[in-house]
Amino acid sequence: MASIPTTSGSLPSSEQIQTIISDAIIELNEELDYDHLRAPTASTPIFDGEDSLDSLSLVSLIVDIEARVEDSFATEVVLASEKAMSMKNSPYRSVGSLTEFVLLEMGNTPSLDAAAG
Amino acid sequence: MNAPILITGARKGIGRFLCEHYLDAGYSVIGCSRDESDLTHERYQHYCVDVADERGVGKMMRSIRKEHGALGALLNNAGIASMNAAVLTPMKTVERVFTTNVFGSILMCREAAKLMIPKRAGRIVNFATVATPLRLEGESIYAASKAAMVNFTQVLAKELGGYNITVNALGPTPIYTDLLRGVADDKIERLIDRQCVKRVGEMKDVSNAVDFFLQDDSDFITGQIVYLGGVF
Repeated sequence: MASIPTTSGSLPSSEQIQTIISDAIIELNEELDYDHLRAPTASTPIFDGEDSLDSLSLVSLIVDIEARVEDSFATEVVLASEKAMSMKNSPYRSVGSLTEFVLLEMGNTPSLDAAAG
Repeated sequence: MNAPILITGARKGIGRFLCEHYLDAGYSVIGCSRDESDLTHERYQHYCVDVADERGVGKMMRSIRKEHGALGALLNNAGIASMNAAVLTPMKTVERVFTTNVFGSILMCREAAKLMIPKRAGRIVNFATVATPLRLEGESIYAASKAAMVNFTQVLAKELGGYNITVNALGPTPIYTDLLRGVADDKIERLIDRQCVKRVGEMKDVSNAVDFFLQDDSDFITGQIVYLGGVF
């Protein structure tokens, strides 16, 4: 989790978000011990097909990613939104799609610093 | 349980009593209410927040996560009553009751669960009312709002069981708090007459049941609705 430089209040890069997601997956995988989650890349499946996480693990992962994003960028992001549930292609299907979704949600959310001011 | 207990509606009534009860028992207690509390204790922390204010609740939970790292239990006590005939109840009142009793309680559960899931442990106690199983005339809106919480409690218990988080609800009988102010004595008498044990509830009846839900050995007790006084 320490690998992300804190850039409070500014929108992060795609690489930064992907690193956050990958770190969260690696930590979750300490319990799960799935081969395909040892070194996540953009194409690593999260909730798609045979390699899907079970729903308990998916919720854990989403909660963890929300917390990591808040800690790193002082931006509250709610990833379990109605939008995510109703999207044709689930944003949870892979690391890449989830990265895009986090960035999309962050772009629509004022930073906590800005909101506090 | 080392993590703190969060109690909503902590400024007065049952919430205030539970704060003092768990402080006396040695826990760290976090209270929240719309207004300031005059409770001071080295292990007590108070947040002024409306439980239905999504942004305010989120801010409080972030602060709890940063300071304590986890949440041991949520006692979802905040609630407002409405005692009126259904056909005479303004929709603004319906909205107000549901906003606090249902939407606020659900929001608190959601955010508390986010602090409990990473630790694979936690206790949530929602507050129901005997007005629901008794189908009390004149309390339709209040009873309906708490009925929603009964169902929510049981569904949430299923969703969170895999994380070792228990979710139960407690339905107190009439206890002399602000919620009962303005209720005629004869109405309370008639209500008590419908209980198996015919007396007014006491604060210790509430804390006794909550103690049961919170104790370590109650990790196999979830999705249960306990009505005090023998109401069913």
